[in-house]
Amino acid sequence: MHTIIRALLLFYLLILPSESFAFTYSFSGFASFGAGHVSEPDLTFGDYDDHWGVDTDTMVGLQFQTPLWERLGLTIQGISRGYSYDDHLSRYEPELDWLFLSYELTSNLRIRTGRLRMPHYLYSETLEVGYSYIWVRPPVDVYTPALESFRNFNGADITWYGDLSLPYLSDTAEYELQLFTGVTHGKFLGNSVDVSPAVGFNILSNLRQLKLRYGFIALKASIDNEGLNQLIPLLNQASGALPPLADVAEGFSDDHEWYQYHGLGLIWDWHQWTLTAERYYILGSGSGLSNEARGWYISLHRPFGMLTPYLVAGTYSNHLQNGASGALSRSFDLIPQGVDASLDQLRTAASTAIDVFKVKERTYTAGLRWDVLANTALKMEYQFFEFMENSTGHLLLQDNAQKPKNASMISIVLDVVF
Amino acid sequence: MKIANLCKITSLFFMLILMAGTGNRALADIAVIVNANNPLATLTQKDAGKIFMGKLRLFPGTNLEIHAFDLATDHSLRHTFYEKLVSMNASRLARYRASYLFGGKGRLPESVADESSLIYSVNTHINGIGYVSLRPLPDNVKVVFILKTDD
Repeated sequence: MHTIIRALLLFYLLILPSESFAFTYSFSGFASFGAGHVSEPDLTFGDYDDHWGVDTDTMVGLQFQTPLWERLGLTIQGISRGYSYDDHLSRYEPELDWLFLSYELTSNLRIRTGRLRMPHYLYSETLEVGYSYIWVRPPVDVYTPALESFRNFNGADITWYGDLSLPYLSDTAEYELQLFTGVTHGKFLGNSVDVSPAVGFNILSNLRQLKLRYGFIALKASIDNEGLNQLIPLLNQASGALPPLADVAEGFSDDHEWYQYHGLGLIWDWHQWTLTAERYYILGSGSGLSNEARGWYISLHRPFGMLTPYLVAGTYSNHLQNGASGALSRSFDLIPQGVDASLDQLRTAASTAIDVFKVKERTYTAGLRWDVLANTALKMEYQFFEFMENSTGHLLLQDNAQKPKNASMISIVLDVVF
Repeated sequence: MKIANLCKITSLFFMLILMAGTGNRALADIAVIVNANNPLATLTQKDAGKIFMGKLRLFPGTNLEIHAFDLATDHSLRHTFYEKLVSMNASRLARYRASYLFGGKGRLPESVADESSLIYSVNTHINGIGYVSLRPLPDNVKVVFILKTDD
């Protein structure tokens, strides 16, 4: 990526002396300063626990934009976040979030190439720009940190903008169709994820006060988990004595499996009220380390002058969709528990690994946004988590701690754009 | 004589009210202006909305890239313009603009302090477009759309 930056700067310098084109570059930025607290002592959300943390929602971003030639533009955006689920990033380590060239082919057709944002959601492109949305952070039931590894991709996209005549309604709907392809790589809580390729489309439509979105991504991913990498050879080794353990090992191995991602979104403005809802669905191939995740949320807000209260409800669930769980059960039919201590230990480890992927939660959130200044918003929210399937949802449990049935989190964020 | 004078005064009063009414309405309407050398002749409200929302990047039917000019965020005409054009209040517009700017969509309109500066900017940029309250304009600036503000 550094080579790309150098090449772009060189290109910029080469064409800078041209007098036929006026360069009007611009710098802009955004920042969020957050603090949060979780009610339960052994649960964490980023760096928030039962003591107040200040890193999870805190970040700064800077953007540089310049036209390079007629209809050709360059955008570079870097961010520095207080907390990342990527274990290899240290606190506030700068990351390159956007770096692309865009070209307007016609008035309704644009191409971009470089580092772009994977269009998972309605707010994918401005996840870090807290000022651009109502909430403290986008609802976690859909905007799951598990997809953080796929946040960006290196590739290209093409977008059509147009109007669709709807004689039935005597109106026209605006649409935006984006096709994209690229590759990405990331790390998430001990998982290393390689995606090559990712291809998909994203369609947005505006009709009067209604905005609808559907996104589809097909991606070939290889997920490398440090813990599972240690467990798989032991399971294969033990499968000589207990054959179903080979199927358990197979269920933990992931090498270039295809995943499908579907995302639906809706924003409906009715007088002063705004209803926002999203639903997503990830479906693995069914073989290897294949999971099925789904989530949705519904959010309602209405401004009263500078104050905008909001309510959100959502659900998230994830589980393995391969035969690992069934194979582990079969192994107990052949050699019951208590016969071989080392086998029992191995099967307990496999069972724990399966449980890690079994997550279900419901969340209820009430919050308030206060537009203090034209470029500044202060937000406060209370979020209640209800845990199911013996999991702790999007909150991480410290080792060997008792799993609570529910928890709450309080967050305060000051968002600024400049 | 007195009655005649009274009639004259009354007529004058009503004429003034009518003129004031007409004047107010004309002043309240907003003209979307482009450079006189721009091939664009007219603009629909929908396309004007798309231009100032950054959804159209070339002038319709041309290969000319758009350079939009905006009034400063505290200018009252700016609020009226976006309320009437795209039904967005200041707070919602600010959120949209942040999302547009940092979401890789493109560049925001260039902000200028007042209407005179805006007219000057459109005057000096062949691909410039902006909005001012309806008024006599210099020759090298033309009106392509009038946004009514009294409905």
